[in-house]
Amino acid sequence: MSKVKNAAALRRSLFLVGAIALVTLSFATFHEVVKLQQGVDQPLYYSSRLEETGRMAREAGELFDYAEQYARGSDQYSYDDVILALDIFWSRVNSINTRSYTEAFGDKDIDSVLIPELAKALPSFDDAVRSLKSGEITSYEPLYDLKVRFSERLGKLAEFAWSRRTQMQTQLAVTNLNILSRIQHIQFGFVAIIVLFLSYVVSQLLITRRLNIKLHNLVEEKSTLLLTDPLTQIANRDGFEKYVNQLSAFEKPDFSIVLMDLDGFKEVNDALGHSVGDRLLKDVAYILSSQSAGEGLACRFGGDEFALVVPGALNAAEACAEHIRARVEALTLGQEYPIRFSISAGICHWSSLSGDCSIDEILSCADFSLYSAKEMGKNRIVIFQASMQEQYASRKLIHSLLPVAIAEQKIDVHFQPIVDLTKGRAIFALEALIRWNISEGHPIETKKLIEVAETNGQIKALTCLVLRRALRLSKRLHENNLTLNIAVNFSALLLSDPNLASEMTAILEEERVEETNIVLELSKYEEMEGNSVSNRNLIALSKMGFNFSIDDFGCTSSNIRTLLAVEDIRFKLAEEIVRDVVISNTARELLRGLVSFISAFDAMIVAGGVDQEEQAQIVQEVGIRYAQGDCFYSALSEDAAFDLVTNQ
Amino acid sequence: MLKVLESRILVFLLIATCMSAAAAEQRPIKVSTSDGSITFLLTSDVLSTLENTSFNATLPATDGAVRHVSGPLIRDVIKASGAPMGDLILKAFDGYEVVLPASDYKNIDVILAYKIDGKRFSLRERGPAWVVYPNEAYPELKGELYASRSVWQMSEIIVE
Repeated sequence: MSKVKNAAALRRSLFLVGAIALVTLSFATFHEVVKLQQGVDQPLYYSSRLEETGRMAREAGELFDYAEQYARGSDQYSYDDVILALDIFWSRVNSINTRSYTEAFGDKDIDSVLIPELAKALPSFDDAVRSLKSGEITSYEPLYDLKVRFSERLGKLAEFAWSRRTQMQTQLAVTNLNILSRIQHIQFGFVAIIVLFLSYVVSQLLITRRLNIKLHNLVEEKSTLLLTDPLTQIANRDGFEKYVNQLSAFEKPDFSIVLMDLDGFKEVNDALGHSVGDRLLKDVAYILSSQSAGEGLACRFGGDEFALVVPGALNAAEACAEHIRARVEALTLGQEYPIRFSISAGICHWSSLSGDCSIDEILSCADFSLYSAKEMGKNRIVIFQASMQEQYASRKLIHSLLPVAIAEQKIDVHFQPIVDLTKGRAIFALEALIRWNISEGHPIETKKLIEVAETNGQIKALTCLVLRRALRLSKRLHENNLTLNIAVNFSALLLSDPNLASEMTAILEEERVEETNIVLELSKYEEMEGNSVSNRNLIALSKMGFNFSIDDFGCTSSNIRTLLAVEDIRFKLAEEIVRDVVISNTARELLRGLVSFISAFDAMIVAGGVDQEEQAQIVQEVGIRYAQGDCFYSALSEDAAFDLVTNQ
Repeated sequence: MLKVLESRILVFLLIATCMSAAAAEQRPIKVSTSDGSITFLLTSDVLSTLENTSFNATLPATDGAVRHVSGPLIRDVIKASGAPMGDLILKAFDGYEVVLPASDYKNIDVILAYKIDGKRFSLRERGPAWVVYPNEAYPELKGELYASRSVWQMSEIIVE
């Protein structure tokens, strides 16, 4: 900072010095010019005096000459001429005999007494001229004497005056030249200052130019950085958008978006650490950029999400994506990590869009395709087609309408009774099920609804809505001295939320529930992480009075370890297991096996999807106590369920 | 060099001899245009018709004392001659010549002085007339330039 200050101070002082110099030079020039002017006056003054001195000598000569001629009798000059010459000489002598003339001589050597002597002798001149007679040369004698007396001296004086005059003129010329030369030097000074100033200005311009170029480069660098993913050095989301905006600006945009997701990246990252994960990401990025080399753009959106912009027709994108998929599949991290990876991709071409053509739209379609690829088993490519449009549309519809529906409580909750087969099919418990009618009158498939809710983060809100309804009904029943368990479907993924326990507590307090007769039916159990957060939540919820049931049991793998964490767990058998028991003996045996497996835990079992009487009988025969299905009751509205239960 | 021819003409025109000191009337100043179209003589009759201006001034090439001069304004002289008011060439008997710019005599009351301290002055006293600037009233009229125009022993005026 001080460096800058010093530079500024230096600049200021330089300017000051420059200004002073300019002013000084101007004054000096002015002074010299004045001297020039003055120089003219003085020499003029002396010069005229000296000239007159010369004249005097001449006028004397003329007088003597005319007088002599007249005395000789020549008629060249008349007497009047002689008198005139005398008068002129007379006045000349008197005028020279003044102070200004003696000043002009200056020299001490000169005949300074000559003039006063002449002045004194003037009357003699007068007498001498008066005594002149034409034709009588002797009448010239008095004048001749005067001539002898003064002529030579006059001549010398004139000579001196002449040389002095020349001398003065030379001096004047020299002085003026000197002045001019000084002025010239001063002008040089001016020019020098101006040149310095100009060079300063130019240097500043050059510096500024350099800085500008530097700045421009930095800005360009920064812009590029902003568009680049720091880890993988391929484009980031912003770079992607910029590129796609450019391409979509054409009249008939011809490109595809390929959205890609690494399968099982999370597990790799957790198992092998972030440095390995990062290496993997870089490798994938390399594959993407080398595959798209020259045409299109490889991008990383963050996490393990990648995208590719492939210009041209759809099959170009398809081919490209297939190559990438194959290469990622072949990827290894060396011998120390014998793990295989795969990548799922969803492709959408710009021309597949109908109606709203925008980046968000094409990304949504590609995303939908990607989701489908994942659903269908991963390590594959799905291309968005017009026929998917409807499915996509309804998903989009759910996505856009769901938050409002939840907020405005437009979603219905129905309850399906679970019966006790040993007690004459008396209603033992209820299961809460979502029914949502979008205004056109057709209900949304619950499975789809849950899917969308899970992807757009609405699952918690949805679950809480159902929970509150269930609590409300439970309270109503409790007021009528009836205690009934109500099962609420609960995505096991919610257990990973650290805020879950506190939020559940809040809901229970709001609904002012004394006894929590709620059973949380954990779905997607196999996808649940067995970490400390979920364990803590399980224990906390258990303490709050919630019971747990494993939903869809039997169809998927089980997380046995976590099962042990919870007391009094229940099992809801998947519908698929019950479905075939009538026709298939194997199914019956499987059912039996499952029952004996579960009975080791001494846990309650509920069989779902019992739609036929035969199924009910087999279920009861196998030893299952509780069942649920259309055979007994279908899902009822809250009021209908309430009436049914109270009237029982 | 004296214009010998000129002096002869002067003698022819003059009535009396030039013996006396008061020979000023014998040498009237001639005012003429350079192309010769106008010729005008400042005789004593003419001079008596012109109004005289008087003031104090220091005369060049004297002991520096202040003298009282009087005579007609030069612009009146030119007007009376009928010549146009242009630059003048002043000529003296000793051969001295100088240019008097029109601006000088138009804007300044420079006179052709015939009397110094109330008296006419002879050729020897640098008469018959002396061009004098009012340099006591206007000290800026002192200095070499105006001194060079303060011609004594005036003989002729040529209008350019």
